[in-house]
Amino acid sequence: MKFLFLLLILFVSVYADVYTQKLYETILGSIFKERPIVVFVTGDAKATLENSKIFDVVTTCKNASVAVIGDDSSSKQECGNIPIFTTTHRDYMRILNAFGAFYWRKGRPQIHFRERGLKMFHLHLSHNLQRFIDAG
Amino acid sequence: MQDNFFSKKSFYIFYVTVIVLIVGAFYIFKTFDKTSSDIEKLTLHSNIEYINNITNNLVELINKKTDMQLVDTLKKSKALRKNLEENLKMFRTKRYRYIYVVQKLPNTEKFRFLLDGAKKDKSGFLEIFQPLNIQEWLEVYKTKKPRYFKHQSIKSLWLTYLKPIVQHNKVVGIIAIDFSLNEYNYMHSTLDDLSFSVKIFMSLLLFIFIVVLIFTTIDKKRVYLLKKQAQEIQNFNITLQNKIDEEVAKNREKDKQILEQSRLAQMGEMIGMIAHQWRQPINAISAASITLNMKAQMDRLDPKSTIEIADKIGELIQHLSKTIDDFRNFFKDTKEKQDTTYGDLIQSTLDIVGVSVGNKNITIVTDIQSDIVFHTYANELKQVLLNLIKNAEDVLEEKKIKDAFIKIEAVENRLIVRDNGGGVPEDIIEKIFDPYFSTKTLNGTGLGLYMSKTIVENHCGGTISVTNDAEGAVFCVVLPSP
Ligand SMILES: Nc1ncnc2c1ncn2[C@@H]1O[C@H](COP(=O)(O)OP(=O)(O)OP(=O)(O)O)[C@@H](O)[C@H]1O
Ligand SMILES: [Mg+2]
Repeated sequence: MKFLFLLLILFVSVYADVYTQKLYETILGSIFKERPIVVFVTGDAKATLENSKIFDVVTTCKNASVAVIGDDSSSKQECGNIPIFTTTHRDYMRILNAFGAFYWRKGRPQIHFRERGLKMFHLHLSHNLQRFIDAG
Repeated sequence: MQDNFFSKKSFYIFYVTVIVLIVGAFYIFKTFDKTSSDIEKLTLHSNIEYINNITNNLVELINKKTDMQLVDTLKKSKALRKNLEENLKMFRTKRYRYIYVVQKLPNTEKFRFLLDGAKKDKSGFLEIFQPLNIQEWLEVYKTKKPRYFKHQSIKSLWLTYLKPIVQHNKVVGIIAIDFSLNEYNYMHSTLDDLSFSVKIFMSLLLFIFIVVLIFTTIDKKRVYLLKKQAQEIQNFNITLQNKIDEEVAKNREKDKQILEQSRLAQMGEMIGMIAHQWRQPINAISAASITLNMKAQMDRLDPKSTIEIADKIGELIQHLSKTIDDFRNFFKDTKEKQDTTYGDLIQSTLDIVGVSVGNKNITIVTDIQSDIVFHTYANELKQVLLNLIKNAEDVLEEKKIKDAFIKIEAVENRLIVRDNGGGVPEDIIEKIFDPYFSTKTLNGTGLGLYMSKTIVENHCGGTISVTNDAEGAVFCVVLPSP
């Protein structure tokens, strides 16, 4: 019985990873039309995006079309020229140019978009994502 | 047959017990699902009740400390926030994974954090929060009543309890408490363990029952078969015994008939022997009567010689009469054992056959070196001896042996009759004791030796055997020494 629970938990965690990956694919995939999306990643999201087929993970911001920034202090790269998507609330607050964020809070997925960041890089959200735009 | 491993009584007791157990187990099993959900409900209920109390206190505390101006007061005082968050932290246990206070943003379905009792994964003050099951959260704002709901999709959460903070009759915030899935899992794993044990126990019980059932059936079958076999063997034995008895009875009857037959044959011979015995005395009587007749005709009948002759005739008649008695005695069917010796036997047999054998120019030699007294069927043994003498006489007469003799010896418990007739041919020597075996075409019944064997071996408990020596056959009767 205990074994079954272990299995369940394992399944849930695997599922969560898959869920996270799907989320990245849906969000970023709907904003960036080219395939693969060349992406610079720091933090936890790196492995997830490397697993995905629609992303091409690169090591510098230079050729990337989007930077996915997580909780990583070593990522003090100059990525001011490309749109930034953050994967922690802290980074979302810190990087004011970031156009959006995805992170977990109290076990719930939190998705945010910021009007300012979107406008800066002329990014367009699909209809179903527009409700995640922060007010004011 | 009670020797199988259950007596009938304990067997029934066993059956009844097992059936009761199975029924009981089935009942438990059937009610288990219900019981399990009952336990779950109960746990949930007690949890909710408990959390209700806690949150009541918390609401009271928050209301008091914020002076019924929740958001404004919190915005103003970081210290108060810290203080209240410490209070929330106190309730955060393994059970309650998250405990926090949120406020709904006007005109949206988004919330923001006011207080968070977390150490890790801590939200910032006024941080935007997008809960799942948004309808439930909105409902709390509408009804101003606490509510809870279970999670389907959130990792590690079981259920969420929402408590409205009401100030001035308006919901100004929600205390949210997320129950850890561990709690639920723990409860369920216990219940599942229990149900698993019940299932195992039941299966085991059923299995044992079935095994015992099978074994007892096999055992019963085995016992039944054994019984049947024993019965069959018994029946068979009975029929066998019956058959044997029947056969023995038949044989006895046959023997009796054969003996009767041979006796009849001997009777016939007896006439011949009587004739031999009587010839001489009758001749003598005849001579005496002739003498008497002549003396009467010559008128020389004097009383003295008349009496003499009459006496002699009387004597002779006496002799004839004795002969008849002898014969009658000889063939008398005495069923009783008598004390006798070989000497007696030989003497009384020769009294009968002596004359007729002697008339045939056969010398009879006797050599008696035994004075053992046997307690046995003397008359029958006399017939045996008679048979042996007659057989010897037959062969001597048939072969016209010169200087023929029959030698009768008695040494200790052996009685030997030998002749010089050349012996029994080797090819038939095995068969001469068989009934109806005879080489004599005219007058042989083939019963003489068979009868003799029957008498010696079956009646008197001895043995009779035949060998050939240089001159002729040697018959040897051995009686058990007394
Ligand atoms: N002393 C003997 N010498 C040689 N053969 C013998 C002698 N006694 C018996 N036999 C053989 O054994 C046979 C069987 O003898 P048994 O007395 O049983 O019958 P039997 O003499 O032929 O007939 P019955 O006795 O009725 O006259 C005889 O026919 C004879 O061939
Ligand atoms: Mg004979």
